[in-house]
Amino acid sequence: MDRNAAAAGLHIGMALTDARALFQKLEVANAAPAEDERLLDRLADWCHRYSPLVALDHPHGIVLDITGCDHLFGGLEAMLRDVVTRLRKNGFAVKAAIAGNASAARALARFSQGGVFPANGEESVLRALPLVSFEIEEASLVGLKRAGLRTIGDVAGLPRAALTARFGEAVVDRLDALFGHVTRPVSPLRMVPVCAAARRMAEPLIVMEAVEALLRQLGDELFAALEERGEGAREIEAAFFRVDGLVRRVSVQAGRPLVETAPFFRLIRERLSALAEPLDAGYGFDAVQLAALRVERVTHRQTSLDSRREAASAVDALVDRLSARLGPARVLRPIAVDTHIPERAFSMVPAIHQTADEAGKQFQEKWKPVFRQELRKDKESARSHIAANDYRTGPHYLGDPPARPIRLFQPPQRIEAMAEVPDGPPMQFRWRRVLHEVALAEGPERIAPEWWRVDPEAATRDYYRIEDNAGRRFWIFREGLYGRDHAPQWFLHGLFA
Amino acid sequence: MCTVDLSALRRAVAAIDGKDSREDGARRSVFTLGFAEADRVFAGGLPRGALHEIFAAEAGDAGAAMGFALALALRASDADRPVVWLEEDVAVGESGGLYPQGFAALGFNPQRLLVVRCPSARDVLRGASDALEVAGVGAVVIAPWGAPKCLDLTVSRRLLLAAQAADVPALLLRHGPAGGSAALTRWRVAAAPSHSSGARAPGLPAFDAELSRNRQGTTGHWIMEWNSDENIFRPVEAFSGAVVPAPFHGPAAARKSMAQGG
Repeated sequence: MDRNAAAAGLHIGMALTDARALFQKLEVANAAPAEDERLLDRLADWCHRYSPLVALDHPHGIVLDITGCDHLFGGLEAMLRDVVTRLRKNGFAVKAAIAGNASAARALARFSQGGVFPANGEESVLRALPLVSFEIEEASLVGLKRAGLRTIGDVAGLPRAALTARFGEAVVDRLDALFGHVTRPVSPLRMVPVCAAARRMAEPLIVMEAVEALLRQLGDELFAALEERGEGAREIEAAFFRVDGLVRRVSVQAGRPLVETAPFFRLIRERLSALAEPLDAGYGFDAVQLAALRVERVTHRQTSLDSRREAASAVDALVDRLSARLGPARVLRPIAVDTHIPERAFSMVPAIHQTADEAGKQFQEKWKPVFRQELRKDKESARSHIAANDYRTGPHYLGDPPARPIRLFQPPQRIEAMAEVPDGPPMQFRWRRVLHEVALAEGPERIAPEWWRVDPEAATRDYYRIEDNAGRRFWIFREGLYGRDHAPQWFLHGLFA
Repeated sequence: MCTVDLSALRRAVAAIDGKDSREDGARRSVFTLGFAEADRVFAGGLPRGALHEIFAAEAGDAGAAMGFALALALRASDADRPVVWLEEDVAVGESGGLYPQGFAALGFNPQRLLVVRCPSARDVLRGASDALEVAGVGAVVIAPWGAPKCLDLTVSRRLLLAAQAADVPALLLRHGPAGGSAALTRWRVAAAPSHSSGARAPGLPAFDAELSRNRQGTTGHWIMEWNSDENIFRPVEAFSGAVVPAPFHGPAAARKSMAQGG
């Protein structure tokens, strides 16, 4: 509802025919709340140039916590002017107010002329606001009006107990919020960065080289600030504010906290060049911001003389780089999982989430029983010729062939097999239209479903290690038991070396 | 009598051969297979920092070729260094995902494994050249799917140079037709019947490995098995084919019996 419409006598909630009668050239458009919301989101995103703490105030407001930000824009007045003129230039009708707390600012923006209210002058203006600015239920509002109250100041002067008794808690709550007696936390849209460095340009940057140079400068600033705190960044987000209001955010992660600009710059370059939708400067960026979203305490910065440690950190840098280019979900390390079901016994996790050192520690706990070389170092096992002793596969003796394949199909591949009933290995099987004659076979290794999961579909599997006439080795299982289950089926689960 | 600077001549010859010309200074690190018959072909061992190609003889030999590559990676790298394994997404659907438990069973510590899943062959090769720049890496296994166009002589030469510079073995795992390549060795690997450990059970993984190219010596063709307890290649003691009568005599069987004879 803008000024012109109000002047013509229109108001919200009016029937369309009444509006037409008042104003004949009325153009009608359907309300699109979803699109309004999207626009509000974009505007809020844009507002991050002023403060990292931006919250939505539905349906058409935005709240910014600008504590400590105003001096960057030349004071409160200049900051408000900047917000309003920029938004008006883009065709928005804006009302804005700066006040001591979010509720007061909201009420002042909506029901007064707006502007900057220094902490002391604020109260008198608030008191003069009409009762509507309470934004409470219609019933309570009518009650207040009937009692002869006109302004917020009138209500504020009354004893609290009587107010609560007659008009409910909402009125007192609103009063407390408006006058800052209680602080209502605003929930910011984005994680508030631990540390940030930003630059606004009078002349928008269009050339990518200039943007990169700026990123380097901001990186220097950010890492200097982090160093003072004794911290390094695990995740850094770069936000690019375009002149036309579009905000583009690109973040990089590192397995080991970043403490210098050079490695960070390599990562962000990698990330920028790998974007599915490349960073488009359009008419230029007028603000760029770097924010450290996740930080970690850095204990030592001295470069170690230990070459092994150096090698490990070089590998971590490789992981960071590949993760920046391909995405963390594509650069993986295996971890062992405690289950005997073959396809669940491991999981691939992004390597960026653990450094090489941490990975080594995890090995001690989880992979050791699976890995045969490790057990052979153990004297007791060596005497008994046990090469590996994993409760999942049972003991393995020296000279035993591998019990598990090197490639595993997920899900297992259906095959047609001919086998002796009830538990003989297949004599021949057909996989991908090729018939394989079985030369050697070992089994069954019976793997029952996990009893602690209730899965009616799961059936006992009998696994066989199979070698065909050409010497190719397969891991095949029969799901279900003859006689007990309806129709056992054969699957190929893996390929051996 | 004219005096000849032998080392200068060697350098010149090495440069013509396309070998690393810096070998007069630092001794280049090498590795062996542990299988004496095959090691004889490589005077002084296989250079560690080099590009080796491993071809699956047929599509069905993918598992064998991969096992062979893993065994080579184990032979060529220090036990505590990570092995970077780059492959394309399509490989998972076609021949299954890497199974770390099986790697452990072959004698490979799964925690050393760093898997890089790439959307395309180009990403595989690009990632490989990044990985080869890192001195802390034990070995890089490069597994593009099929015979991608982007893997040409220039790219393989780049990989070779990177491998030499970092002294990291680059193992190019391939199938399909072989194009021009700068690789130091090329292996054609097929599965071979294993020596049964008794009771008709399949034995240690056996490979029918044909060295079809060797820039440093002669070629050869061997049948060897991988002993995962000792991390060593061994001759297969006896062929299970003799124990179990094989009713099927396809071309693969014929090829194998030839290899056995020669």
